Amino acid sequence: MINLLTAKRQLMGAGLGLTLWSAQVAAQSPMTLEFHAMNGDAPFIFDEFVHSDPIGGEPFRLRDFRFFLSNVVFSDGTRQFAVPESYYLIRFDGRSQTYEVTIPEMPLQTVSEISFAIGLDAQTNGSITPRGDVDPNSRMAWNWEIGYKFVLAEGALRGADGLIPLVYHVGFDENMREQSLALNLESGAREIAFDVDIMALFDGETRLDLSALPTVKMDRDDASALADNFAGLVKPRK
Amino acid sequence: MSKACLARASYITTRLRSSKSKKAVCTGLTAVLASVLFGSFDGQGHADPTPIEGFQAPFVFGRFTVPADNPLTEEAFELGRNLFYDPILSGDNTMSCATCHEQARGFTDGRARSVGHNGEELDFNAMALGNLLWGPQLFLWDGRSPSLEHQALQPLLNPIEMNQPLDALLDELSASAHYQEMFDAAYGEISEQAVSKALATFVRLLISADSKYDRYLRGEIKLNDQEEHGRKLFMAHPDVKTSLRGGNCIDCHSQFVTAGFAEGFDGFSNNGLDPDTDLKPGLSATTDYDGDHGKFKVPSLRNIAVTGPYMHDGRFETLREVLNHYNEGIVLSSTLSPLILEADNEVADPTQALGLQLTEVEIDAIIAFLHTLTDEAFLSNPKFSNPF
Repeated sequence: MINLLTAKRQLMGAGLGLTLWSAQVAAQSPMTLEFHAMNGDAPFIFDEFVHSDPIGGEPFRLRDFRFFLSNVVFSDGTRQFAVPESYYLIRFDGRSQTYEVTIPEMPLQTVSEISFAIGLDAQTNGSITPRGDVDPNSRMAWNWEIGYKFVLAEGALRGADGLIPLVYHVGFDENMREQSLALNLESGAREIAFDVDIMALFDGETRLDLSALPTVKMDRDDASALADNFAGLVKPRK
Repeated sequence: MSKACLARASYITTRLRSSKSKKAVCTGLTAVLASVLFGSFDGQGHADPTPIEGFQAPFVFGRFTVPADNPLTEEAFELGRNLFYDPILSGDNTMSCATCHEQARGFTDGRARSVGHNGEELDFNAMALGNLLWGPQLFLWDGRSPSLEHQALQPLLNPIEMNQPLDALLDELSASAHYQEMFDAAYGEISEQAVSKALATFVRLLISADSKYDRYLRGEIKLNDQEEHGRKLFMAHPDVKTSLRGGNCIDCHSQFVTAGFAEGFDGFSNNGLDPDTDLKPGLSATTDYDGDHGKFKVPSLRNIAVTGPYMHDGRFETLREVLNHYNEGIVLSSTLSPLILEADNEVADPTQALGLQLTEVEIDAIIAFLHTLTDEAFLSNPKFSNPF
């Protein structure tokens, strides 16, 4: 995907005169981050009982998966660009399994690394002032005394005795996880695609038995185990 | 999001703090300034309408958007108010908007389902009006109106509501010197668009922000013990594992605005009223998406104590009946919110949860908190009253 998009840009660049085009990009140019909901190597399917409990094996479905991606920093190896007020809610559901974030200005010519947090810094998490996609009157708000959900997954599991609702709301300051990803992009690339492996939430360092732990909300140990699982949620798109 | 504005008054501070906020204010201001800069509507020397600036809205309500082509002006508001209360808006001149939206009832009518011009009962409960700048920006129970301007004309056009052909309405309005003058001052013309824009402006400015809860949020008063208990329950999703008891209200009703969430379709939910066989289409009639079947707009709870009966079809007479539903009456269906299905204060067996299982004391506390959302100043504000 990255290669295709980059190739398209280069063709456009050639048409305009490559030198001029590059200069423009370096001066002021948007950067698009594109996120794809995945189950392993396959696109994630919502609203259908097509996923398997990592331990019990029962089928489950999700209606939503959302997470905050914040404090984005690009690096070209020597210089860094921290995107101001970068608080994005990445959202997937049955309507859309891809989500795009456009950063209006990204001055680096070449990006070799991106870093960001999954979740919110304590200052933002403790504030009721709207900031980026952080909104105290939104579905990601728990309440103003606790802060926000960092990662939300909701759905249902078809168990032997009936439907079990699945509710995973992971928050708390201590569960913000920082990620740095090395990127192998061509010079001037203005779109970066990422895979979001939703199953990583349930099947990572800790492997969950969803029928035994169908909800995680306020229990700090459970929340921290899921946070360790989502620490590597986002990867450069294969 | 980028076009959004923040309210300029604030509970906590009276100044906007972040650069984001500075940018956000622009939309509202630009809209107002545009009408000033570009002068008269048609070059024929009409006076400019007066922008409404700096109206008071709590910053905790968050961002809002006013359409660039319908800036808030005093003239539009007054015209909208006149139209809202004038039976000239119905085909047989017997009904006005206020027939089903009475101010003292939080702009509802006290009926389970509203009654149209010929006495026929409609399918739906009259929605309360208030704070519509915030919360879902899709209007009506099934979200079929993408703006207040669009919504404003729907009851007129419905043959069993007001049954008012628009061309006939424009003729009636044009024959009135009173309306000629008001339309001229607000929009420079009498037109379908001007009617819808004026009504939208009036409704947009029905802002309720002086309830006991608001005064509590401003730090002016304390809630009493029962109300505070209810507030905590309102704001909590129950978690048996950590012994957190909750009424689960906040999973659908945002903590400050108390309406459904503004983003996309987040403000619509299936709250377990009916089985699959009886589910009405709801939002899916608008979106044509199966996952939306049986979802209805989550209304604001502002002034909820005076806006009964409750639910989209007015099936519950009292707040106690509403709480009983959430406590023990949840009906399973395919699109039922997992948050409602899962929310239980007692049982650990997740397949058996059909209600919150709150105690009577807790139910009374939540109802006491809901009464703190009543805003007497709003319900009797002369600016929102019948001008005739």
